[in-house]
Amino acid sequence: MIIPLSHMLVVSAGLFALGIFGALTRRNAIGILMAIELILNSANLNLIAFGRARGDVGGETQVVALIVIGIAAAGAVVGLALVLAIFRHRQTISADEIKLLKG
Amino acid sequence: MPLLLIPGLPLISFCILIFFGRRLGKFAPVVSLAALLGSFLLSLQQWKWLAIDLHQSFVAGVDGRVAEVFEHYVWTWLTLGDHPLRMGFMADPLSVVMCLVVTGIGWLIMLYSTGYMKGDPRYSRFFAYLSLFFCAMLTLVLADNFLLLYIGWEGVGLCSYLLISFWFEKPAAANAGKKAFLTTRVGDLGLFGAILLIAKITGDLSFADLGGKAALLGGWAPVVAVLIFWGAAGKSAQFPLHVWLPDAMEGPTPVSALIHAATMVAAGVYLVARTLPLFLANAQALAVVAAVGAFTSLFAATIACTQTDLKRILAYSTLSQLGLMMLGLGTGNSFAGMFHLVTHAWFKALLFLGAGSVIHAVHHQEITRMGGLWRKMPVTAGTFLLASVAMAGIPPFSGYWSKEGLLTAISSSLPPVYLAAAMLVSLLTAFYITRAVVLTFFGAPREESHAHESPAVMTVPLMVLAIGAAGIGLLGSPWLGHGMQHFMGAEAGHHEAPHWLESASVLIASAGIALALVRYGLGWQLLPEGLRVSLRPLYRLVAGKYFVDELYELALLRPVRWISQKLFGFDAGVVDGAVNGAGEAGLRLSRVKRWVDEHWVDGAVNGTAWSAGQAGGMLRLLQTGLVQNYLLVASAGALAIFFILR
Repeated sequence: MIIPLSHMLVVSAGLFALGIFGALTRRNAIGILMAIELILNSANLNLIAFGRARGDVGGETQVVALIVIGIAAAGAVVGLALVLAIFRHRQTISADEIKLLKG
Repeated sequence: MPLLLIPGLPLISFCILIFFGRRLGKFAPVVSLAALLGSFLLSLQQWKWLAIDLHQSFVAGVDGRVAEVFEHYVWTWLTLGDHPLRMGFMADPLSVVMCLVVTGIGWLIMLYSTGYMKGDPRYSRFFAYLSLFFCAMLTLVLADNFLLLYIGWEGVGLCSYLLISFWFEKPAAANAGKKAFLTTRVGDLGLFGAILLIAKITGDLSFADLGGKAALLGGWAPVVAVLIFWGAAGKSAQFPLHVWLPDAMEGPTPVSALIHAATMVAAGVYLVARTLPLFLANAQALAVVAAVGAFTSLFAATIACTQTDLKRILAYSTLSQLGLMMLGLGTGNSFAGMFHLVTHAWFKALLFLGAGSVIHAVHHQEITRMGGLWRKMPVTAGTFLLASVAMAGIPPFSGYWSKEGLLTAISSSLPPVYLAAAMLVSLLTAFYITRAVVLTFFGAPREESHAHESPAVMTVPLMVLAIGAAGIGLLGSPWLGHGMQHFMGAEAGHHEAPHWLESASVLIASAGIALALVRYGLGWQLLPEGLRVSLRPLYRLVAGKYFVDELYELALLRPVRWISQKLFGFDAGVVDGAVNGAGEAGLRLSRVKRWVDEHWVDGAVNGTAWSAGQAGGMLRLLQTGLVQNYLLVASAGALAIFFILR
């Protein structure tokens, strides 16, 4: 059974919208990080969908998606480490209360 | 090269003494004495060479003058455009004779000073100055051109100033130094003008071929000659620039002996003798020399008869003798003046050093308070007496021969009035010097004093000088075959003097001595009472030194002072007013500027900062620090771009 491209793009757009919504509305820093993962994954999904639609059979696009996942994992590690460091300093991970750069 | 060392050695000595003199302490004179002795020996060597030269040319049958080959050291000092400026030292008979007089007498006087200046706080500096003086004087004497001579001339003037006011704590000494410096400077201006004219017209400053230069100068020649004489008059204290010399007696006595009797004042006579060809070229200039010389001589001799200060008597006597030398040069015969210069240097140095010895013993200079000193200081008295006799012109002492030469020259080439003046001067000379001797050394002591003979370091130079004062004249006498005349290239016996002249001059000198002996030795009044009363104003005029100083005060100093006071008033009122006004105006203007600055410029600057601050304040509202705000804005922006680019 062949899933048409448009379906995959709709799912991807939905994931992206969820991710953006989560990133903008969550107060918890870890939640924001999780939402960002959603956005990255929607991008991955898009990438693979377009790859298939252009007739990629060797899986070159899938390798790129794997690299994105790896980098996302590394980014998540850095993000979590930052969150941990901030928590140690300020006893909170609420994004509302972290505004050191306020002008 | 040895020629360069003659003035060079005293210069080295000066440098050592001025820098290390204090450390040398009482050994300081050793340096200067050694240097001057070196100069003396070198001069002696030059003299020997010249004498051999003379002998050879005599043997070879060359007539007249010494061959013109003498030591001559020349170098180019600097080149101006394509005019090389040459400097040079030369030892011709004239300069060698001067060198011997300066270094020989100078050495004895320096030796004497080591005793006279003992205990002075600036002991070593005195010898440094003396060394500098010898350097300058020997440069002057040995110079082969006007410029180098002028350098030495000014150096001598400077040393004279330093030495006269050596005891500058005494206001009189400081003033005398200033007076000497300024008065001789007036004279120097004349010499300087003459040098400028010669350089401008002939372009060559050397002493070579002065007769040719006189021809080149043409109409300017008399002017140049008179200007040179004006300079010489300043240095040799001829009327009307004589006023500094008597005051210069405020300096230490060896200085008076050395500078103001024996050597420095002779510089003017030397200059005229050196440049005599310029004078010979025009009769008017020569007449000026003779007239001024005769007048000064007579003028000063009369003053010397009335003074009571021992050193002042000698000072006026120096003036008078210098006048005689000038008169001798005025005959156009350089030897007559120069010979008298040489003999005068010896006996006048001796007189001054003797006076110094007396002053050293009694601590004042008034002859009216002395008397009977010969018993206490026999050596001083004896040598002083000998020098007096030499100066009075009693044969066979030195003064006789040179005065004889002068009178002969005067009688053969000048109008009889000059001969009469010279005769009168020799009468007065004999009179005043006998008066000084009698009042100082003989008769009953007029005041209790604990005078005693001076130490050997002072009396030995006196004795050596006494030998010179007695015998130096013989060098120019017929007894020694007119040796000096031959040496200096003068034609001995060329002018035949009338036979009566010789006996007349001796007679006149004896008459002067006799008059003084009768008046001051025996205490007789020479003139009847009535005549003395009527002559009293005349006496006051002479005793007041003809009031020349007062005349200068009235005619020169008062107007100058008046003008300077007016100028001071102008300065204080107008110039200071203008300066202060300018300052005040500046202050006002700056106040206005300050107001503008504070209100407008500062306002603009602060306004700029304020508006930047306001803008920043507005912009900082955007900077919430909330990551999600930024993300929202970024997303909205991305959406907006998406819709715009669609």
